[in-house]
Amino acid sequence: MNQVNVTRTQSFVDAIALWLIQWRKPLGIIFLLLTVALGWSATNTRFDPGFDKLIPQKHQYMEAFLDHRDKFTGANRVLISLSWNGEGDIYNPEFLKRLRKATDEVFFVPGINRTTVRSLFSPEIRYNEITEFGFMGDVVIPSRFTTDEKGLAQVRSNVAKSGQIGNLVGNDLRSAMVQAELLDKDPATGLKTDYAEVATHLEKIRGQLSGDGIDIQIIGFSKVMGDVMKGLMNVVMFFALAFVITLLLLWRYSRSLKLTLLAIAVALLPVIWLLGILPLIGYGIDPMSVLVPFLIFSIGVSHAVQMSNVWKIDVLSGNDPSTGAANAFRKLAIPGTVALLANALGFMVIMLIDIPIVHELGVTACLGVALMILTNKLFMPIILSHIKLESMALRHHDYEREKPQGIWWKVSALATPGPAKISLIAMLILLVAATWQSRSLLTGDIGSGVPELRDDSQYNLDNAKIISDYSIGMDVLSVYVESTGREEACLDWEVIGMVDRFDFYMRGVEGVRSISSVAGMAKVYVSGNNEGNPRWRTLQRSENGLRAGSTAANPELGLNDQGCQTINIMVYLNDHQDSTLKHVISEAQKFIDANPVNDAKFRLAGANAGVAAATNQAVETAEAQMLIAIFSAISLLCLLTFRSWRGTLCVILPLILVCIMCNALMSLLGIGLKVATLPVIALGVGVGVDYGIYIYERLQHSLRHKKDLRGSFYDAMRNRGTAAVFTALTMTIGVGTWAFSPLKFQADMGILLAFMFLVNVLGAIFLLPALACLFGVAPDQKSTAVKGSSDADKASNEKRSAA
Amino acid sequence: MRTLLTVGISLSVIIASVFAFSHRESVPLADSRLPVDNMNITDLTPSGAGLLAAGELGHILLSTDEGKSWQATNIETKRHALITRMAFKDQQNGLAVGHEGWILRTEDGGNNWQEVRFDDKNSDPLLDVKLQSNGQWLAIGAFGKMLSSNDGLTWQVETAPNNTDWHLNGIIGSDNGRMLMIGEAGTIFKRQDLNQTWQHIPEFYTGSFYGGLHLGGSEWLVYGMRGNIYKSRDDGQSWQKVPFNIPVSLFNHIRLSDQRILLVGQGGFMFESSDNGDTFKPLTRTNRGTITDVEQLQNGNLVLSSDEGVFLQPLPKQQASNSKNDGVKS
Repeated sequence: MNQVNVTRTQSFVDAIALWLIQWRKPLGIIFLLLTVALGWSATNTRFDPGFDKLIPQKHQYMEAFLDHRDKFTGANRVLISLSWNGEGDIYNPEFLKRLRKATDEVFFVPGINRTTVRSLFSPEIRYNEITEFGFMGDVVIPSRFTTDEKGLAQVRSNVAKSGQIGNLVGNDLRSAMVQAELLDKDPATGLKTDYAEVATHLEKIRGQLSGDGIDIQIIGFSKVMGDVMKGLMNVVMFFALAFVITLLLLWRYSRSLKLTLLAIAVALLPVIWLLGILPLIGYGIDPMSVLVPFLIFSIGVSHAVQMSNVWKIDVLSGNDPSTGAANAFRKLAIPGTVALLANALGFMVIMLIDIPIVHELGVTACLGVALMILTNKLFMPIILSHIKLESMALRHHDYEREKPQGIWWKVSALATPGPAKISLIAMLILLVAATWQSRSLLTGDIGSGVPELRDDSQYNLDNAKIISDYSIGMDVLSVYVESTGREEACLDWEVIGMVDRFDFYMRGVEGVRSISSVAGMAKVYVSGNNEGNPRWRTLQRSENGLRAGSTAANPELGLNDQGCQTINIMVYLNDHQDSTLKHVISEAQKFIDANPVNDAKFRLAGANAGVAAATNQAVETAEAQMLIAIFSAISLLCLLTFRSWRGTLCVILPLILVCIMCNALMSLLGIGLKVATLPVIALGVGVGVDYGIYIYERLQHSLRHKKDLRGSFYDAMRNRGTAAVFTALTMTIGVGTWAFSPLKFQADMGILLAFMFLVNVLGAIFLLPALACLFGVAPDQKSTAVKGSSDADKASNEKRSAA
Repeated sequence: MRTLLTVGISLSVIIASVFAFSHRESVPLADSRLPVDNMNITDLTPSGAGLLAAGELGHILLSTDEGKSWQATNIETKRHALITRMAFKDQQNGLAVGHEGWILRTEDGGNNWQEVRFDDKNSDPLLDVKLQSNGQWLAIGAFGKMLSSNDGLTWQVETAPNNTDWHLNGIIGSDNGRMLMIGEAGTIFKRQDLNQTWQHIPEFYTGSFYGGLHLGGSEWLVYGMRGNIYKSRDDGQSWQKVPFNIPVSLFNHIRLSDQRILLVGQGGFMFESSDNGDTFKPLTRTNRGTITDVEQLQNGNLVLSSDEGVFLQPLPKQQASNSKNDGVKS
């Protein structure tokens, strides 16, 4: 069956090769026109940071979050803190002047929701006080306010009574902030809020208002995104760098300017096509999918190198370029397409991660690979058929041929039992060590601050400063209490009392910084109505008693909606590390399960910590699924290609080892398993399997011609090994340039992908032959066998053991 | 043999990978606890069992190590109402009172508490409870509420003196049976001994009094809203304002072992008097919201309760000179 099938496939491939060369002129023109059209379209490609794309939409936490987030928009907040370095506290004319200026400026940030701008100067910020003469309440900073000693003392006293210390004013009274929320759509233009523009505007405020003893810190999701996009611009530089290095390597390898330029051009084609198609299907480049052009380019170079190599050998053996091109297509159509399919599989399985940004990454990358099959496998032979080799390239090749006993011959010793055993022992040691180390890998973000940026970035420094100055921070977990059939849940002891108890319980949970809930706020108001006496700071179960604190249930405070149908309990966390999130969420769930309320439901979890928790869960669930999927798919693909389970194992086992090593490396480098790093394994496996496929396919080819294992492996390495190493190098460099990215997640991805690409080729060179030897892969005894290859393997096996 | 080797190697890699990629537990965080440092504690009371702290949502905590660590006590019926005061008859027998007329009783120094009274219809709080010299308990509260009990188990509603419906905030006793009852809107009642009725002292101040103490002899001190402190030298018949210009409300006091009087209250302020309440000056300002109670530990240091939890504070040294009061306004 085996041979018959191969023949049928091969004759189909031969037919295409023939057709390709016959129609090379019109096809070439079509490809060129397509390139021009898509190149033009590529100029419309836009960056798209999209917050929503980071949310695992189907996760139950996110369903609750999406149900309610429009009511409580807190997720997209900007905090601008002014900190005073001079003497005394913030109550001095200069500081208050700047704070007012900052408040005014924030109004003009594009996309800002002007009703949500809060600072000490906002009319919404009031204080309440009971005096002997009755209840008094007013804005914190009077409208006709003079910054003399009396006025400042008044403000200082008002602020203390407003309950804003720790919130709008720093705990040590040496900083104060402006808070505001961003809308998804800019109300002025009706367009999607441009975070880059927001970030630029915020930086302008910082530039204008800092100095003279005042520092400004700015944090918020939009600022992160703005900074990320600025960081993304560096990607262009990295691309250029990777491009130049690849170019040099290519030239060094091929000694032919024509082939170098050809490989580069062919590798760039799918990138251009892809960038051209993305705007047409409504996709943008986001911080993750920006990875795809690099990958496609690198993969494209590797396949172009393989093809030009085969073509060159063919031409050197005396064929004319167009026959050489047809032969190259014939020889490489199967392993090349299988390898590309494996790549595509790798990209496809990452779509198992239930997060839109990863889906898009998968779609974009699959599309890129599909385009690569067209450009590399069809367009490239067409170009090759028109090319004449320079003499230098010819000479170089002769030089190579003169030394058949070179490095590859030495390496091929691994295909003999002695060295194979050493290789195996090394592999087992690595396996044990890597497995042990990989157990300490953590999920989610590690460290505080935003994971997108480096720890010492301006943003993360700002974040650390704000966290230390105030009681609030950016890590918030929202718990929603939905009540049905209750008229006014905030005046209903069953609900509000339970919110109060939840608030209390969560305050005792490790990892929680503070809680903001309507119950807590109501208690402050009740106490306020009773002369600020802490002996009244409580909720009572009668509706009358509860009414005393009902001003707290003002929907504008963002802790509940109208009628308290939904109550938003905001749990401020120390950080958003997975251990914190898991602990806080499980404690919250414990309380919720133990304290059911009729007609009211506590739902987890919103805001950024809710998103992070859901994301981590999605990532953890996806990890196993993804690995099982990618390895099953690739094993099946290898089995179909090689028709040998031994061959499949020779390719797959080193890949598994490298995956475990990758996890071990992550835990060593303190990189968490998260949205950005989870796809790395799938990508690394999808691309890494290429080497094994190319090498084993060639090895099998020689085995069929009755060469012994070492000779076959030597053949494989001579024909494809150099190209494989070269490819691994170019790809490693292509993604390795990212290690210098100002964006932490890009650097992480770059380091890990570089590791995967490089170590996988080592696996294919050093482990594959050893495993093949130990597993008893041997030359075919009956080349015309109609039996399955595993039977043939067995037969050869018996033969060997008999001998 | 070769097949065995193949299977063996493959299995070892696969088992290693299953183990490597199996679920990883994250580092567990500390167990949840009562937020002793972030809850409203209204009262600290020493008992035979240790030091008790009570307050938010009806929690009563016990510390047996001088306030360093706290454990929940066992409360039979949880009502989640704020406890406002505790009082003990001896080392073991005591009461806790709170909102919604809640009264709890302990017979073992505060390890276990039983509910003796709860009124879920009428939410008005009880604000103080005291043992009178005849062994009878007296509890007072909002809107002129007064209750009395002989054994702490059954309670009779009493008519407030003068039929007052002002909030009654505190009962101040002396060692010889004289008592003051203070409250809202400058309310002060005094009783010379148990056989007499409460005598109304005409209001000389319009704000609330939150507490006071007997200074010895016929001298008394009351304090309350916005830094108002008054002293009487004639057993409460006439009162003189103690000069004090810091407008923070004062909620509790302590007479230290060295005879200094400390007043505590809003804004985390502590004030001291070394002259038996003739003058007060700021001693220190803690970074807690409102201090509600203060006790002195064996080692002389202080344990304070606030609406932001219990905390320990070294005893501030006596101040040599008068410091300026300016600039410390709440």
